[in-house]
Amino acid sequence: MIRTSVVLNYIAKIILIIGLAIIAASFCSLIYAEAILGRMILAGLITLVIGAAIDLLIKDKNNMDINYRECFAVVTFGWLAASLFGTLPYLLTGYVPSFADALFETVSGFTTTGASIFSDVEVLPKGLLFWRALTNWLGGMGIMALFVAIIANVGVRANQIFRAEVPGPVSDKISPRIRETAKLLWITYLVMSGILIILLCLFGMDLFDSICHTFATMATGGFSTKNSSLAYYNPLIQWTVIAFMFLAGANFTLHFLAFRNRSLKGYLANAEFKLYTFIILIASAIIFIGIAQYPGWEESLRQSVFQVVSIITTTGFATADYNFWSPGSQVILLALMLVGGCAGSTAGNIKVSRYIILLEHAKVEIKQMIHPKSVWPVRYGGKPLNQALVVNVLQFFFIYIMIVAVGIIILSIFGLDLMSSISASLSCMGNIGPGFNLVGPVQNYGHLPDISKYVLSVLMFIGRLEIYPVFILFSSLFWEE
Amino acid sequence: MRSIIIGAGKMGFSIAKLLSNENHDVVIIDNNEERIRLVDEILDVQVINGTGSSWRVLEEAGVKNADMVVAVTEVDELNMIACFVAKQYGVKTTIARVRDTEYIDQPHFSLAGLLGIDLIINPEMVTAYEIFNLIKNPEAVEVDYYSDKKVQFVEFVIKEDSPIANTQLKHLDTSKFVILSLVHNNQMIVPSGDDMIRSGDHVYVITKTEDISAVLKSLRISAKKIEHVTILGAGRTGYYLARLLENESKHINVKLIEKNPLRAREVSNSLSRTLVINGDGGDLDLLTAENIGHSDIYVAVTDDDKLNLLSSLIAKNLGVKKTIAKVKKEEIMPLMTQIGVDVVLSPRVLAAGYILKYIRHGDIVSVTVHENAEMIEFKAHTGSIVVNKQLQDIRFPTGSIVGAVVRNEEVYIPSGDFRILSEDQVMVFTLPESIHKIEKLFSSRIKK
Repeated sequence: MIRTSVVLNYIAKIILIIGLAIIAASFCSLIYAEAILGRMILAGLITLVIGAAIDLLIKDKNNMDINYRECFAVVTFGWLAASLFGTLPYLLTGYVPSFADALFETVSGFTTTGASIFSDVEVLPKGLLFWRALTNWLGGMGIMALFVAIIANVGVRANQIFRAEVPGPVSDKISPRIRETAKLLWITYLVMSGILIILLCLFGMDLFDSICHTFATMATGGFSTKNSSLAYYNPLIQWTVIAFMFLAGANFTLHFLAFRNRSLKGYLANAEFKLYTFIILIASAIIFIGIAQYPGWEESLRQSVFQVVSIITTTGFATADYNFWSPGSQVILLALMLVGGCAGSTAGNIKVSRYIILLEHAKVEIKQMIHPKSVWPVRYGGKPLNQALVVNVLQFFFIYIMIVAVGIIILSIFGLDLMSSISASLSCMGNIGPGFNLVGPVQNYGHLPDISKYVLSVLMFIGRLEIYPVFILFSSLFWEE
Repeated sequence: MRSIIIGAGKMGFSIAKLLSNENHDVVIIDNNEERIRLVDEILDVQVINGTGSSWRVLEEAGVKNADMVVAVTEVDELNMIACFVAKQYGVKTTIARVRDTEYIDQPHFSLAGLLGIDLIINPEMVTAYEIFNLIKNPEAVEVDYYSDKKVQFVEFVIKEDSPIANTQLKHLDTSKFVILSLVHNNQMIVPSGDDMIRSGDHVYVITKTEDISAVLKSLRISAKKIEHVTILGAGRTGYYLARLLENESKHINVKLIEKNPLRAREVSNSLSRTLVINGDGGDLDLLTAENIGHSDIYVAVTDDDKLNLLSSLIAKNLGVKKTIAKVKKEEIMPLMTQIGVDVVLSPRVLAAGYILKYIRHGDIVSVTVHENAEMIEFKAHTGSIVVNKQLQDIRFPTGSIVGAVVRNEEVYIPSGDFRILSEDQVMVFTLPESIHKIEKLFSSRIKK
């Protein structure tokens, strides 16, 4: 049974977090003495007041122990609330008059997609740019994870809330307490972000841009403060961003353990990390051989690695317009749009670990055809998986492809060409950002009709929450008493 | 010597019987009254009804004066605690049956040392090792290892078409091994060069483990490489065996058939290369479909004696060259070999023998019983009769023969002019009545 008061109680707190984040962004406007300062503060205050009001309206706070089903409601509606209130800075400052555009931009931010409706971001005030980057950063490690980490009294169900949001089929706890785990992951995230800001500053980016790009990189989001994205900056900065995109697309648990144990052995023992690295190396190598239009091998190498890492980690930064690359290179990038990073990273998409499970299951299936009565476990990282999880992954893959297909159909009905529709649907579902043709790396999503923007917003939303927490709400069983 | 045995199950019973026959004062503790009464009727031992890990019960059994405690109940933990308690009373030797490998495979510290257990025995593991040895030496009927596996003891059967049938032993090249004994028509002889090998004879041979191929060549036994092994029953024995084969013999393909789907899933989770099949070993269709006849060796180790027998026979019929079956009822062992199962093993007998081997130490390092004869390891003490003499000059009692000598970790297969030095470990194969005389040859004259 779903108790509205319980769900609202937690959502109120999420709204408060968003309100505080908007206030934080308005500080940026304060520092740069921008005209939008008042509007930004207003957006923050409205959010805070509504959050506080909902919180106050709920009188009976004794029985707030959340149950199994309510967790899904909290996660999905929490994200929905964040996306709605997140539009306020865009709408109130007047830079994005249309609600469809504002929603698209906010959802794209929180889901770390990085697809934008702006054709010119350089004219935007710094406060708004900062808010844009901040939505990326908050969504990256997860609003729920942050919520679990800083708000104490969620109880035993915190585990489930956390899991519903953390990407990937299997998640590991690094501490027996989920709150501690969420905290440690957020700290790892913070520390790595701090390091990247310092590095970017050292290599010649100014502080504001460093912070914004760090937020977008660590969250594998992809919002840039420059129209030409990372192509604006020098090769050293681009290589640094490549390295951090790569790290952000890997499992943060591995980063934490490597830091705690002072050892890199954890990476080498992880099957998913190895395959992830392998895919990047192979894809980069093929594209490197395939593209010849750049002067100098360093630039060719950088362009190919950058685009590959940007897409597989679902970041979506661009340094080159790959619409002009050879067909082979384009197909490889398109294929990477179905891969994604590692479980427990900030990356979206299907994820390497799911592919490992699918491949292992395929092997077992074939062996079973030869020996019909044989019994084989599906292993992941050497450990046998239970059948339910394998079915869950198979089903996930199926639903994922179905949703992408539906997205393609709707987009093309509303006038987008085939390649643009396919890539836009894949890119948004996978939380990547750019696609091909009309939604390519130097294009944007602003020219699409409103209906397509709503559809893509839904895809980003479903993709980020990894399907199930959203779809479960559509089952009549879920709402039964 | 006072020995306390905890657990009057089949294994406890076997050990009690063996020890009682060796003049130990045996006390058996068990909490099953009926079982206790049964043991009391059959064996000349003292029985106590109670829990073996209780100090009261142990004191009642005379633990303070006991030399040995053997805990072989069904419960691992009880066995371990009983040994732990017994050790606190100053019992010299404690032996526990522990079957859960989680307790044994401790990488960081020895549980046995912590609890004061001198010997941990796992009957299923012992059986699995025994079968594993047979798979590694497929032509042998029995295989045993001594001195860190450097010395190998093997029993062969001479086939009807063997080229060495009706050959006198002196015509064989025995530079790399010693023929300890021939069994002809159930009659065991310690042979001389004039004796003749006949088809159907059992030949007992001792050699260096690394020279086993030379032995096969000399005895004209064709060694076929084992590639496919089928195991029926994924109980502890079957699982241990599959794991051993996975770890030790990378070229062998293993099929493991298990009836219980849950158990099949469980073992397939912890094995990697083994093909685990969920099915019934008595099901001819399954055995044919899985091409069991193609296996080199078929091992039936379910808990069901009848199924083991039946399915071994089916396998034999399908063309398997060698079948190995496990039985619980020792009485039917000879019967099964008669019908056509090649090797029949009883975990209980194996485990009891293993314990006995451990108990009877002192100067004698290890002992195994082969029907009547025994292989005993003696240490040549300074000043004893055998030291510094050539073997041909020592008068060994009839029916005994020196098989191998271990000196400074090095193994020698001696010929007549071999000279024994002091501190050598000498393995002597002998009939029981001569043991006493041999002991005299090896013990220091000054001491006596």
